[in-house]
Amino acid sequence: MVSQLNQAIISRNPAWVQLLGLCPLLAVSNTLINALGLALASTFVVVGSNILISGFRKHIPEIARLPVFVLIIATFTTLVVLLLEAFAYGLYLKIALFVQIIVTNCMILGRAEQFASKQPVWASTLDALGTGIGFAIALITLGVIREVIGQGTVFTGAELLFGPEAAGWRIQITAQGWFPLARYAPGAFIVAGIALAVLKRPVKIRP
Amino acid sequence: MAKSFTVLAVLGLTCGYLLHAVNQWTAPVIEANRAHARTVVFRQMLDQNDEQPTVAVAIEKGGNCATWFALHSSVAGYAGPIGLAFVWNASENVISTRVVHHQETPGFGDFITGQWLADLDSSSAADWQELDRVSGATITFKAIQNAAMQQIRLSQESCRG
Repeated sequence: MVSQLNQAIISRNPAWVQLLGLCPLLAVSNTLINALGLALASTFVVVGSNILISGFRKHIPEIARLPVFVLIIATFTTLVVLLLEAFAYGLYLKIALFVQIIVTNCMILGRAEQFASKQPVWASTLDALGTGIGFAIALITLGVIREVIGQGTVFTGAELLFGPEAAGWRIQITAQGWFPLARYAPGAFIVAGIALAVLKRPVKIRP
Repeated sequence: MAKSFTVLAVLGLTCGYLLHAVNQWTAPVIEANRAHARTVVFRQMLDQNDEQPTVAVAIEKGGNCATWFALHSSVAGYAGPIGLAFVWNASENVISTRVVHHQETPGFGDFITGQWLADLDSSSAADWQELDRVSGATITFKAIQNAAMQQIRLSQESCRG
């Protein structure tokens, strides 16, 4: 179990190793809270859809395999959009577009096709959890780095996810970020590229 | 074949039921969130603070034809519905507009949440008609332009009635 989780989180990390889900990874990771919101949403979708797919794996017709997977993933994506709009409306306004495109994230369909459709529910749940955690680590890492160097803060906008009491969690590290470009798309590519280069040596990449 | 059809039907019904149940549960909360967001936008547009209890009443009653109306509508943008809040000044027949929620493409259609609409405060239908289109976001621009001009026309008709 530990080995399976370790593989899903580290050696098969969907973002840093497999380079999947880069669009939402780069677009939403401008602050830690935005990144955490998308991480939670993605994990919910991948775990929920993999459990359902694994549960029905012996009964899904071969010819209808992919449309059924997409149906299930789209269902869970819609569920998380509704829940986000209801219980984290401020965060929903910021990241809604990228939560909706979780349904197109290759990471989720890929794990369903390669693992959940062939393994029992408990194994699929672990694998999905590991995949979600791995993607979350990538998102949060990038979110922290970009927010610190781009804005000089951490936990900006925490009240959007954790309620009004979290407004005081914001930490001002520097008066302003020393690399403001990190807040925007070009900076996201630069920071992610450097992070990928740094991580490439210690992590074995599996094709 | 029959077994496959049964499985697909069960899956479809399961997904449909989940969506229906969560939608029923969250719909009132989502509408309350949207209404609160509209109220915040109206307060900003009307320069009112939280202690003044009149905004919700004004939205309900629409003021009278000598003053102003606070209105809202939803129009079809490029990537989804755009929720709009209007303040229509009946005596001068000019309108101010703000976006409450949208799904337009970041970097292209999201200019509507910036200074662009604030610069168009208290504009008449003629002012809206003469605006230059925003390149790269013509559908978004057209949606807002049509919504503002239609709102002016509808408000005038309501006031006359």
